[in-house]
Amino acid sequence: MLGRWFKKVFSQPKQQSQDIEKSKKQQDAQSINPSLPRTLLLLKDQFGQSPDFTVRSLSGHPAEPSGMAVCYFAGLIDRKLLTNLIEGLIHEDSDNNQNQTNPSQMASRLLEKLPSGHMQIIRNEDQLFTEILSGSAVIIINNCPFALAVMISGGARRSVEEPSSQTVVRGPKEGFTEDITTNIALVRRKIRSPKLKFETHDIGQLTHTTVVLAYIEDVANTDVVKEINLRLQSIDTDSILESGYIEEFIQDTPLSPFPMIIDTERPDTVAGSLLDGQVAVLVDGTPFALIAPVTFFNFFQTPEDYYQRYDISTFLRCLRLVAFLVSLLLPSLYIALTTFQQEMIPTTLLISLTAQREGTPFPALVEALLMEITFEVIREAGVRMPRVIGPAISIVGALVIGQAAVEAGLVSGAIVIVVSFTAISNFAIPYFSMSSAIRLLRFVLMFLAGFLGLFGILAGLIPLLAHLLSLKSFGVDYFMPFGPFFKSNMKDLVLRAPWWAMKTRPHEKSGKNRMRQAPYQYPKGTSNRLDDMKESEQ
Amino acid sequence: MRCLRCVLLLSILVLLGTGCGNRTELNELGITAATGFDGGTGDWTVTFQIINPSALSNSSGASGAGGSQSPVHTFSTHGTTIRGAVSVGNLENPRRLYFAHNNIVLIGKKTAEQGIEEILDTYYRNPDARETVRVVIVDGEARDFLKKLTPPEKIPGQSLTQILQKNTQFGSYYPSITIHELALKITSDSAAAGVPTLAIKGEDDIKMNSTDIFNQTSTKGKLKISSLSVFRKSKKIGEIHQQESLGIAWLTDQIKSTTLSTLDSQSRQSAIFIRKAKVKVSPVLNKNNNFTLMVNAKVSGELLETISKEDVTSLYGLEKLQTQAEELIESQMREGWKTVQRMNIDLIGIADKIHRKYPKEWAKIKNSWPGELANMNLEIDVDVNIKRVGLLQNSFVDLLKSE
Repeated sequence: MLGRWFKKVFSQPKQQSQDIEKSKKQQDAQSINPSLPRTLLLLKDQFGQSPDFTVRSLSGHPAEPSGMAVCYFAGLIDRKLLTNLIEGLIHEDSDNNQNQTNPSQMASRLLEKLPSGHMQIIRNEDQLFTEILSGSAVIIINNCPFALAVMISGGARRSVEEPSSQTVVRGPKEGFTEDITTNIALVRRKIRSPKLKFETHDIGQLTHTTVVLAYIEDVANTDVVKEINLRLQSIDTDSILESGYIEEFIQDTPLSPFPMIIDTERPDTVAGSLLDGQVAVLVDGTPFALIAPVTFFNFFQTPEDYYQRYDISTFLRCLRLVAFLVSLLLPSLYIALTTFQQEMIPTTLLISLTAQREGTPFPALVEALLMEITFEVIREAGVRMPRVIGPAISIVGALVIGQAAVEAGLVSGAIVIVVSFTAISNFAIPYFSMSSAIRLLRFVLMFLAGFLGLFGILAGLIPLLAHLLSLKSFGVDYFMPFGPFFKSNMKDLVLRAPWWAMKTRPHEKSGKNRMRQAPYQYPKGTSNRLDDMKESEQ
Repeated sequence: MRCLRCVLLLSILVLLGTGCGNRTELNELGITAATGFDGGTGDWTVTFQIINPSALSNSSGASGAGGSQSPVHTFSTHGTTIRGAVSVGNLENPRRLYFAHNNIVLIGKKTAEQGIEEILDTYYRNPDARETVRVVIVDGEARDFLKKLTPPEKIPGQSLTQILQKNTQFGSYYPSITIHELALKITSDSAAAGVPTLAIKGEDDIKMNSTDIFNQTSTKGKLKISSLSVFRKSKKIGEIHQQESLGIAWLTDQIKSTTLSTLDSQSRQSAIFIRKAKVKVSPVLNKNNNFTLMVNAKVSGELLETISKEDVTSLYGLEKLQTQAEELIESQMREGWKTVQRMNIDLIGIADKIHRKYPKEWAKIKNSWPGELANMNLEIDVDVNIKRVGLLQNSFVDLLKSE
């Protein structure tokens, strides 16, 4: 019932969406008027008030038969490239004046001879606007039925830096930037194969954001690629400012607290996922790329797992799963054990817990909630506050939570340990989206534990597990290697098998090319060979 | 729709609300460390030893001055029934009596002699009283024993449990017994059980009731396990001392580990630590329609100390030590057996074994059972295996002489 109510609120009626689709297609493209002055007027009408819109006329007056103008937004283009372009144009122009060719011929000559890489013919006004807005310089020639767009976009951009949200000790330190061409290049540099495909979508009626779907042919599951393409195409919205917008539009089961798509700042994560048969979505204007389909256990794997020794990675993965359980369950277990199942606490611990709780005024549930919420506030404040006052927050946090609250008799000492260990465990989960989901569920479990004890925790965990098992991410079961069970995937789950043992890609996620490498690559070592060499030398 | 939503909300609230009522915060608990029973049918005195948590904690968060407070608080209640007495506990006690961490029950001597049926009944009927608690009979009134503090441990109840447990584990002189085991034993065919008995040794010191005792290095009085109370059905019928109890422990395969002090022909001692003992006792019907008790013990241990002249490095010398140990064990078993025959009570649980092995014969001797014990023979076969002799090879006595 609750689900139905949610659906009613969140989904729009079908009719309405059909209307929108119509509205999208109704604007018929108006072809460009051959008259240069008229086109310029039109442009001035559209952008005229903006101080950064520039029109440069070449060949004298625009109304002259051989008149030519270059239009661009000053902030969106690269000045060096513009200078080159204009030099080229002047050069061509002088040739032109001698030969007296007609405008169409001139345009085609420009297409051939201009020293610019990315050129394009524009035939309608809409395209004209989009090109100018996306950082092209448009060459309009009088009496010519089309214009030329030269892609010389540039301007201030952030350089490739170390990702801030996902750091590694060992591994590449480059992260995506806000510029999609850079991002594509970063991925392309890691996978130098013609099989790496990119498909471009233009989403957002106002923002016209470039969204790029990346996958490796044969390695990725074609059905998944098709499905994601379809879902991307069906997005019809005003604006896409970040990949989070896309994520919410395309993910399965939008009401689940669990993330169904991984977001990452790291090109190597994207490359690794692509090689596993997953699909990535890059969005212009954000350093976060999306990866789908994913399983629950993907959220406990970091790229670094694959860069360091397999035994250490395995240990760390186990640790992360433990941290996950601690982060989800510790406060609720504390509540349940101290208020309902005291017999499960060892006597000595029980006595010392009781001694700590002796003077505290609140029930354990309230106590735990108080501390958890305090911590969440501190955490949120830590993210939002200006960097300069960072230390202040930590001092207040440490003093208020750690000491003052206990000494004032507001809360017991044990809950401080519980809350801080829970919080630390939460940070051990590599993906922020997953750790936020757990944070939410923790509160639910705390309430259940406060009302029903261990029984309540179980009553929360069983539906939770059922929910996890029922989830699907783009046709792939969320709890995949366990339900349904795939033995071959166990090599890269909690365990991380050594690379030479991981012959195949994960099941179900990947397409027809499942072999990752040749079998039997167990490193035999070179000691025998070296010994032989030494002997022969002697 | 709205009606449905209301129903849903209400049902959630009702469900959650019921759970809340069951909740007990830690500071509402009176954690009972030990319980004592005195009196008998119609007039029960139940004594509770309640832990005082703030006296035990070192944390600065709890109200300080832990040292001067008594770690436990003891009080008694009276009632015509046991649970009746428990329920009036809250007339004087602000906290809910909480028995889950109570792991020792003290039963007064008189109560034990009158019968402990009612106590067992209470333990089996109520879920909050665990039948896994250890039982001990006290030589006197349980309420007096619960008031004594037992340095260096802070909580006497726990300390007594530890004594019982450690004794079972390392000495096996008086194997500890839980309510459940006791009930099983006295309801079985042999209808006999042994329960350790606690007594105050030395002068009964009034200081034992106060925290002053923690300021002393040695106390005049001590709580100590002194003997084994023997139960027939639910009544205590007698007591046996340490050696007899040890013999019975051997025969009932309750020896976990113990130390044997053997003597050789020249009265030179060696100590052998028994690490593993497996004793099989099986009744065998012989031609005269009598039962013979076959005892087969496989024991392994290590040499802890010796002043004997045997060469422990040679198999021959070791063999001798082993034989001495075997003889000692046999004599201990005989001592236990003698007690059984003297008291005419089946503490070894042979009745059950006969019942299981020879059901027909059991039917015949069932009525005259404990009397049959006197006619039984005992055949003992002990095999001791000394696995280690320690770091020293010759005994030190030898070393000094040979110089």
